Amino acid sequence: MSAPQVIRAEGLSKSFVVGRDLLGRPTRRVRAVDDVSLSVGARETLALVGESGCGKSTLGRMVMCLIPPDHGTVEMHGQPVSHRSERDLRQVRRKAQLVFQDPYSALNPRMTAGQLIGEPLMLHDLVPRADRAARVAELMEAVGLAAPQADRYPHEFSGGQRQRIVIARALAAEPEIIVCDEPVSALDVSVQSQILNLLVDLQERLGLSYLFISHDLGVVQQMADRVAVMYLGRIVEIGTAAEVLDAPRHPYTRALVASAPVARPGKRRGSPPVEGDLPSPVAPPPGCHFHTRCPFAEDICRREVPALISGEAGGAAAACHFRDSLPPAEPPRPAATPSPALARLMTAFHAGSVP
Amino acid sequence: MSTALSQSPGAGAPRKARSRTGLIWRIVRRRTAAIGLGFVVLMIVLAVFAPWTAPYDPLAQDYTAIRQPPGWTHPFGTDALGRDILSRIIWGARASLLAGTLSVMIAMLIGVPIGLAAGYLGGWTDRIVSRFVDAILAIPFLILAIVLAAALGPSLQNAMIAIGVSAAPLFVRLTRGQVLGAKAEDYVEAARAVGNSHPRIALRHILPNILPALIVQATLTLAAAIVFEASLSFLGLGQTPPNPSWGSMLNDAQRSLSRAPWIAVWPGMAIFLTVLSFNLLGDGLRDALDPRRGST
Repeated sequence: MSAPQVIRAEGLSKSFVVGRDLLGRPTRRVRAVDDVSLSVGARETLALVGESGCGKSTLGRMVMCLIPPDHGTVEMHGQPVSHRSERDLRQVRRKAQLVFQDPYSALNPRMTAGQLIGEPLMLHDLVPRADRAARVAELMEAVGLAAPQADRYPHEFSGGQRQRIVIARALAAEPEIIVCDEPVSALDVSVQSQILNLLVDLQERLGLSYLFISHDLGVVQQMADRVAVMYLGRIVEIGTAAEVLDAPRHPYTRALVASAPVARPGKRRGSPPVEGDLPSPVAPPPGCHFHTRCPFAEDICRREVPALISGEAGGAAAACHFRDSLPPAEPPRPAATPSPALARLMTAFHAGSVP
Repeated sequence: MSTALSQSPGAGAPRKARSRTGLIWRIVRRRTAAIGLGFVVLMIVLAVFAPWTAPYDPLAQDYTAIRQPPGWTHPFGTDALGRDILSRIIWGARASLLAGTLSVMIAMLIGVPIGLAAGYLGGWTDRIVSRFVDAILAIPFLILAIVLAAALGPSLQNAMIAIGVSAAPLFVRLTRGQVLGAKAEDYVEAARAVGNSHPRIALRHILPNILPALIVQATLTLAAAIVFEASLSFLGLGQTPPNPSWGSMLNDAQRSLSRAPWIAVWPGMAIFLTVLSFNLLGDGLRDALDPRRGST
């Protein structure tokens, strides 16, 4: 842990005003992010998982200094970067770039691909004017686009190609970390894997770090070194991908892993699925936010906020009072042997008989 | 032809020229918009070349030919002072088109930057600007223009200023609303992430994307400004006699409306057709500039 962290966030909180009285004074606030700390090392991918509305995107934008935190600090290579002037922040932000969920709205429709990718070069004066076109061509080829397409407008590209433009633009700023906010969830499945492979490939070649925001555990498993699970603005479990996804400790993580689709017909879910709806983030439940939906909840969960620490046996840090005493989770991964249902299906298929 | 081109991404080379012909083509393809464009162009040509296109001197009085009905020597007839109405319509087009264009330019020069600032900065700037604009918009447009024109003194130039200032709040409100819509787009956040300064985001990223709405509003306001210039001239607050403008011609005509109605018909028709043409052109532009059709 002594290796320098590319990005380190300490105690970040952010609340948004959702209601105002007649005089415009805030009456209701939603705590989008509540006292969250995380760090991303060099060449590391930290995945941020959670339901929609849990504060993933807000956290990602605070880490990038796109929105100022209410509390907490962000450090880059040990240097505090939050709470600086707008001019300084522009320099800081260059080191942390953003890849958006929706490649259709992330590109200015009135700028060509070349202008879009060249803009960071121009703004930060990274490449002399005369060499910019060549650098843009280089970047386009690095993300799998043909350089002559530089004078086309975004609407002339497909969704996957647009996401490649977004990635090329992020790379143009020569960042050290890229915040990927659901980068593939708006894309076709066949294109998803191409983009994911591109991201992995770029990480290896350029030594990038990723903060990878997603709700798709399949994608997370493919990409992540470490995983942080968020629930209602707090991180409830954080650890290596193997720890969190294969041996989840927090009941919420277990439910999340269990509800991920598994390519095995007839398989029973390992844990009961989460019941009830996500509580309103305007008035989150006291104590452990998850107690309203947790099958193991007891009195202490309604009163005290559990700390995010590792259990006695080590492994992932989980914010649960019973992190050591919960019954072991069923293995969420399907066993190698096919299920009886699948076996029946396969024999019926091979026999070609219609029952 | 341009639609076929824009669908085949293979055709690459003269990109700028292609998109420009594409825009005009998309207007011309809509028949009503094409008619509007044609009439507007005709009026502009007639007005610009008025010394050559007008058959008579618009100020020359001929007391042997007073209130003549339309005929071979005077196609549109003559007015109470024996002046040729066709020539006065053509010279009056200069005043009307100039007043329309310049007052819209004044309105946009005032309204767009304020609306852009209010929409982009938000907060107190926005609240103060919005309340102020709401208050001005509560005053009837014509009353406001009359008060301003009367305060400035009657002249065509002051009428243009009065109309421009009165129309500015329209552009403030439209620009502000459009900016609020565009600001929520991811590409604005992307521009920030990449390191654009706030002024650059507003001018380089937001303004080009809201321009279609502004251009459409400009054509529609231009039509309204021509009517208001006519109204102000009719009231004696615009073009100073004896110089012709369509509104002041109407004003002159009303005194002999029962004896010589054609004196009123021609300027009325000129106003009607020009305003209609600008409105048709504006509607056509709105469709042609729709970003979903992938213009520019």
